[in-house]
Amino acid sequence: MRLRIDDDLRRSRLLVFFRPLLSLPHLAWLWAWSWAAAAAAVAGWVAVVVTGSQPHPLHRFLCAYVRYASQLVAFAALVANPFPGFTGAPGYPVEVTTPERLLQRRGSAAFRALLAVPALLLAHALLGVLTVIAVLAWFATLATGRMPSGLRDLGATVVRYLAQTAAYALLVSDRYPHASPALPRHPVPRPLFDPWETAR
Amino acid sequence: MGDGALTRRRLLLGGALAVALLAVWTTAIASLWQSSVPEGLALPSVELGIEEATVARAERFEGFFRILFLASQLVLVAVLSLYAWKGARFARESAAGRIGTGMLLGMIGLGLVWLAQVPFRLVAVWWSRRYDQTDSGYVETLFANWLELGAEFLAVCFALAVVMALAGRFPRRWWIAAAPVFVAVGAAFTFTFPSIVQTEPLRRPSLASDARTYAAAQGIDPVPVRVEDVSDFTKTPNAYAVGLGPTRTVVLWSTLLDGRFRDGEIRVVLAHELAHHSRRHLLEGIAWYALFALPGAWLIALATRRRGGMGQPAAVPLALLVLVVLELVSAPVYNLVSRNMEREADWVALETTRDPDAAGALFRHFTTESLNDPDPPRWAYLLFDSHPTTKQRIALAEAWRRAAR
Repeated sequence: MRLRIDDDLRRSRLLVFFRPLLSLPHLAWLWAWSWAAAAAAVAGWVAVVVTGSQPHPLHRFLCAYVRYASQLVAFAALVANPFPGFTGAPGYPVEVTTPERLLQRRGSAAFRALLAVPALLLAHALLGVLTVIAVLAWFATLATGRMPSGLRDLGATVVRYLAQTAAYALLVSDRYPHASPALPRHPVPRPLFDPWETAR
Repeated sequence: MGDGALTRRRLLLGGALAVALLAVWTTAIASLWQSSVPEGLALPSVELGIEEATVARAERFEGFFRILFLASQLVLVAVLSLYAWKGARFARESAAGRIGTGMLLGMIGLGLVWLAQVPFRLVAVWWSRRYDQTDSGYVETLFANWLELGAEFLAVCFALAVVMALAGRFPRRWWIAAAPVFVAVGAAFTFTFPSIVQTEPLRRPSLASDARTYAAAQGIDPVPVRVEDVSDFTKTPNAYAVGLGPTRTVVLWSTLLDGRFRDGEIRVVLAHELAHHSRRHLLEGIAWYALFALPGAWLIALATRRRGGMGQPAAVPLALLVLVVLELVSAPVYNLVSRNMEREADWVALETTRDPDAAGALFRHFTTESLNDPDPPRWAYLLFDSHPTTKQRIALAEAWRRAAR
């Protein structure tokens, strides 16, 4: 998963001051969406273990969820400026590109919950780092009206790792999350035999 | 049929509908206004029985708050006017769609309202501390309401999501559909409120037993009595009735049970709050809200048409200003309705406890403990007071004594 940044570092002080409160409706929406995403992930897990890929609608739904969550995290942590939409639609200034629907290894998918644990633990720790970034950025941005680029880039790296972890845990992708700030090599797409297409 | 005849017919139909609605509205108001206080009951002239120095202190205490309130409302209207004028530019800070951007503008407006009120809140704490009415610190005051503010942010988002979704579908008639939605939300909030507020059971068996006796005397099933600990932020005594049907509850503030009030006085409070339930004041409150929600929503729809209507985010800052002005203008009406209900609850409490001495002592105690101005200026009474004055309440207790003889 790649990260695209189209952000000029400018921040509205008023929006920064109220950022935690402005994030509240999104957090409530994310909470509701997470229940649906969890149910979709379970259904997707069964589909991947049986057929090797997720049905289109589930994949699209979970991709939108991962995009939305990453947009919200970027907004709440001041990594991005504008108030995000509620649908996870592409086009946000700090955005992860969600993966194409590829054939996944069934063995890896079967034990995904277990395999994801180390990445989830690291994600949890990085969330703490992101909180520190957000607090520092809050004061800096209120003072200057601009987000320090170093903090923004570090925050964006964390956002990318969180999105990768969510995508891996929800079986949107079978690429294991990588914590390095360097970009990963391009994945080699595996040919997709799509039982869901064939069944139509 | 010609165009002119059609237009005339439409006008006639519209006029007839408006007259019919007005008749229903007026009848509903007349019905809701009814009270069990005897009609034409004359309040006798009474001595306050409170030391002059205490009365003067209460007058000073409340007088300052009146000025502070007026100043805060002026600043509020000024800030929201500025926001209504310039606020739409914040839409460029949004990557959300039409409704999401409207929600953002609504939340920014609410944030500005909060910021504008901060100095007044701090001054209020300073004044209350001077008169030994609170132990709250200034920093504590700033941060104590964050949870409440968060709930308000969520509420404004929900309201705007409903209104803007409806206005997107019915640009000119959204208010007809929105008003019932808000009444339903208000009713749901009243119903669930007892489970939101943190309380503990009343640990005074004799008072709990009296509450059961009073509920039976007022013709309702027993209502749970709970205690809310407010000692951290105020010394003012208070109580309130909440909930509907199975969630009906009476909540006493811990400050009422800290030893300053005698059991007889607390019994009057219990009977008064139970009367709000037995006389269905909470349901009536929702009905009053319903009566004003429809014309209020219509006025907002009318005012925001030049900004493209409530379906457009640019209309949200103006809608906030109109809403606040409507609230300010309707405050005297709200207070009038509230005073009518409180007077009835006082009367029913007197009928239930049959103890006008305790009632009189309680009302005097409110002045000595909470520094309620016992006889405020007429304008202040009409504008601010949701309860009858202390003097009126003492006179009502005396009137009941004479009527009971």
